[in-house]
Amino acid sequence: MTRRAAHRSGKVLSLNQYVQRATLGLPKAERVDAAAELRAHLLERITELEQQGFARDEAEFLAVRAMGDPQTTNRQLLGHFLTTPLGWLALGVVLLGGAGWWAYNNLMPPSEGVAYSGSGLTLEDLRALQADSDAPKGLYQTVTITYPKETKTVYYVYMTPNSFNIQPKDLLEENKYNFVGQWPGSYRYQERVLMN
Amino acid sequence: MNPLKSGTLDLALLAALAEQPRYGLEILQYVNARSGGAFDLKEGSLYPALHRLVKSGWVESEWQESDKGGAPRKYYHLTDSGQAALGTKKAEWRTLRGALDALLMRRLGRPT
Repeated sequence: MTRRAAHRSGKVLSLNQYVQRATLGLPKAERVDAAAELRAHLLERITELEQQGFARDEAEFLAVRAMGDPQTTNRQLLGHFLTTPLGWLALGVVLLGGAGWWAYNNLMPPSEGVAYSGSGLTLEDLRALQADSDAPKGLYQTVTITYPKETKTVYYVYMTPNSFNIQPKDLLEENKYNFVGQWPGSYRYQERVLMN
Repeated sequence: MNPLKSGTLDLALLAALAEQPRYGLEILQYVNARSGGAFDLKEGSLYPALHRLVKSGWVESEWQESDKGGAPRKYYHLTDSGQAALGTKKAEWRTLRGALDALLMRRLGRPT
């Protein structure tokens, strides 16, 4: 803002300064062409003014001043960002990045396997422990088990020195209700185990 | 630049190139002379506007050596699509002018 204010207040620019500022940021070939054209224009104007009797530096000052603010010309020469390939590329990168980030958060399934998560209990864990009157107090080891995608049945084996028990659970039945509201493919059946 | 001017700037530049190819300063002189100075074309906006016309394919440019021994000049001339665009814009302008004239006349033939 202060730079623009300096121009508007009539800061004196030389021919070279004007041409340089008006062609800032253009690709090399375009820049040279536009600079040559602007310079030819200004030189011709300067010659006209000199013929009218102005000194060289006065003529330069008047000719440059007649062109107006170089920043305006520069902005108009650069054109709108989205008319250049770079502009579209930048927009594409931003959109793809955003889409990728959203997909990573919403569409990707949790990693399959057994995940030990220390002894920190979540709110859900606490609620479950509260509801169960038999739950012992003390530190718990927390585990999250994520089952592979096509798992149809889970067999629970309970082994103690005195007894042996196997219980199956049909995951297809469970998943019928659990799938509602989830992105297809992003859902995995998960279990939380608290070990004391 | 007021919005009306930006819409008619292209028309003015295309019209300036209709008869013969011209270079920047010549276009400025032509427009200012023909319009009696009423169409105040800013020198700083001339070249970006011409470049825009080149980008849209209505105008082509080429550098030519000046016969007076001065610096070379970049001359602009209309392409075929430029001629067509000029015709279209002229028709649009006539329609607009007719419509506004009709609005501004209180009685037939009597401008306000």
